Amino acid sequence: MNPLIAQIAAHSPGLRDWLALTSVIFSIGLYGLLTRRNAVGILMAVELMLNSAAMNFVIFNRFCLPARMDGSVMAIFVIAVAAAEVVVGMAIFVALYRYRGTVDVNQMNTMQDPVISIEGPGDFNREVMKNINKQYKSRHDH
Amino acid sequence: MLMLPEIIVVVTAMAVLVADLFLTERLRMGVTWLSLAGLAVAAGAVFATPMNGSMFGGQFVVDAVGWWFKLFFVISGFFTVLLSMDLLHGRTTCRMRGIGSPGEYYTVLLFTISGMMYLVSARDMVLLYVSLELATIPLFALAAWRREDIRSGEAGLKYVIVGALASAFILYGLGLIYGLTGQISLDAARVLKGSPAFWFAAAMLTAGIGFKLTLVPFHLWAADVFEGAPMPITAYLSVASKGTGLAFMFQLFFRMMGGWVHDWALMIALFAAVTMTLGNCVAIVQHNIKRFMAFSAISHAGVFIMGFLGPHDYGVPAMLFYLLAYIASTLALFAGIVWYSNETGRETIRDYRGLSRTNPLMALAMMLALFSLAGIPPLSGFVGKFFLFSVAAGAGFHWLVGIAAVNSTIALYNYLRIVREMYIEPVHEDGPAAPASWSLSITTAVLTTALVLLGIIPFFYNAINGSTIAWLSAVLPH
Amino acid sequence: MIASAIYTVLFYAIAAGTILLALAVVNTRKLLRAAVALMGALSTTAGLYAMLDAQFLAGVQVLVYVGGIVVLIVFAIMLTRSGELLEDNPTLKRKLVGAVISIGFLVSSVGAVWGSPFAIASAGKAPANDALMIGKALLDYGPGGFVVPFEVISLLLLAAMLGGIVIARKTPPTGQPFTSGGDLPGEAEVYHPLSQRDDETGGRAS
Repeated sequence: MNPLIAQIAAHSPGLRDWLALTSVIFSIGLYGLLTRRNAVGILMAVELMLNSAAMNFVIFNRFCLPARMDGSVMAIFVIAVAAAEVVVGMAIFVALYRYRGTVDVNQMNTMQDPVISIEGPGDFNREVMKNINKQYKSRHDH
Repeated sequence: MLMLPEIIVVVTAMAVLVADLFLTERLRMGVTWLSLAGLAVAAGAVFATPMNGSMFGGQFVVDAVGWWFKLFFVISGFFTVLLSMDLLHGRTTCRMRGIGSPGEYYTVLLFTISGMMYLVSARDMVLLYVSLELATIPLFALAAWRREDIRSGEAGLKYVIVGALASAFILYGLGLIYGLTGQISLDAARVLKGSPAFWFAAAMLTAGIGFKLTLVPFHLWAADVFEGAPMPITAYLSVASKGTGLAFMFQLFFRMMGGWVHDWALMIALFAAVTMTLGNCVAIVQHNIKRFMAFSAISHAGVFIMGFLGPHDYGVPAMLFYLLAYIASTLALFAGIVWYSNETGRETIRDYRGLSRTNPLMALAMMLALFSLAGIPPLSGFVGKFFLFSVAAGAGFHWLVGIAAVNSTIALYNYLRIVREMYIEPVHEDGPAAPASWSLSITTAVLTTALVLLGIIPFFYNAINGSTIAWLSAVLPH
Repeated sequence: MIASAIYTVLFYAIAAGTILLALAVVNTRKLLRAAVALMGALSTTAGLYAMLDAQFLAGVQVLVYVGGIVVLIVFAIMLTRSGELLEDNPTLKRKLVGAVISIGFLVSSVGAVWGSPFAIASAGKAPANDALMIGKALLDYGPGGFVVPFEVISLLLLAAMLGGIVIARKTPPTGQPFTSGGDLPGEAEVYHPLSQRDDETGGRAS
């Protein structure tokens, strides 16, 4: 027997290697969630997180309880729930795009806590609304 | 038939969906009647079901706490329908606030109620997760229901992202617990030994609950979603969604990780203190009444979780009673807010000035609801808070009771701001002309009476206490 | 021995591919490319499921996730014209915050998993006919079955579909007095918080 093959076979992935993989994917999703600006991009990052969480169930099912299918069943439900989540999310994004012209979360600031100022409440929101009106105009002119 | 209430709610939802196809525009009100009738029958069915029993070999279990939660969910759904109907059928002076598609609206609303009811009956992770999502995902859509209002869409967007993130966290935590026990059942995890993976899973689950229950520092989404959502949905979010979060916390902290509940007392006390304080302090500067109510809801979340401290047997009925008092007070207040916004389209606190002269009855009802939320005796909010504070004091968290008392004072100042506008300030020159519609009048009358009676008559607390005082000892055999 | 070695090599290869694709999902500046990378990452996940003896689940993953959800995401990218835009590179501060939080999560998660005793069963072979067992479990109304969540998720999908249709459809239902029914942003009656603030000076919401 080739010693290299024996050595490779000795490193056959165990439960902890699998779990490390899902942890890596989950944290990549978390990174995407924190850095993306486009709402659709954020939802894609969340899909990665859900996917890795579902894989956890399958891994535990395989390693800890191979006689029953509980983990696999849970994974199927997670996939279905993710589908529902994406349906609602995408509908909201598309509807919002129709009226705002953007799904950039950095521009989702029509609602703010009031800033305490001498001029009184609402001035900050007034500025924000001015910006949004400008966006409409520029989109409508084209 | 233990599942009868859920089945009635689901069948009503389907019936509303089908009826909406066939009803002409003139008869469109029929869907409202159908929803109200279905929810009333479902409330009756909850009463008719026994307080314990299980179906499908333990997949679906009813116990005393679940029974009360289901009753609360159905009640809050019923009054949310009453709050929504004027807006859905265009019977308001201010057309800008209307919501479209009544049939689908009621169907989706009823589905979320059934999801909440399944949540409290779940005994395995699969049903727990799926029903939690059924109670949450359609709410994203309801928050974004007013497509022509950019704030509504923005609220939906924020809610979707935060909700998906919370569900990913919860799922990751549940997965680790599943791996540690090797079983999908919630009861199996109670005997777990402490291990790093268990603590990590508990932290993930706590974060997930924090998002659902708007605990600080996971509360950031709440204000924007509350402000942007249609007004009745804001009311629904602040009562039913809070109830769902509490029920979910019952499932996880008592049923699943019940063996550890003593070790987490300090953490829960810290969460409670921070949540109350921040919620009340940020509410001081709010001008928009919906935003104000969001921070009021956040600070109440801090009060709720005090029931998880201490001699737990007393914590369970105290939390349930406070939930009931909170639902009655919040919805009574929202009836006034919805009416004002329906008639004038305005929603800042300043706009309520002089309401006591133009509409004394509504102002009185709103004042009672505000005083109940602030915790002024003898209203129900005071009684509920009193029980929760005594739970915390009994657990030895006297400092928390001190913080909570200071917070009650700040909260009183906050709520008195609205009362001052209504009673002391000069009358708004462009106040609402029309009196409240019958649906809002009924809601206000019933709920205001309820919030007074709940505080004065001990029957209600005794009923909750009598049936649930032994619940925790049964769940956590020593 | 050789089978085990192949399994090992395959695992590390697919795992590396999944991680690289996942990194592409969160880092590409073109969203359409990110969607393609997501499709790849989910497909390799299906491969990993197959390696975990969950063949049926691998099929479901490809059919529903890759074939359904990613397609939906691509539609959303097209409909929001996000595909045409180059996403700005996140600011350094944002990148730093994201990296610190996600690496913190990774370290604590891996540490927690490696330091904990999991009840690893002896490598008992998974059942050969997993589709049959999953199907039975889904419709099993006895103890340990999943018929209730199976019914509940059908409600969830219906509710999500209804909500999605109502929000995303172009024309509002007839007889709604309060929507102009406009499709273009300019035609729609957009509610401005501004007009509400103006009320304080006495003017009515316009």
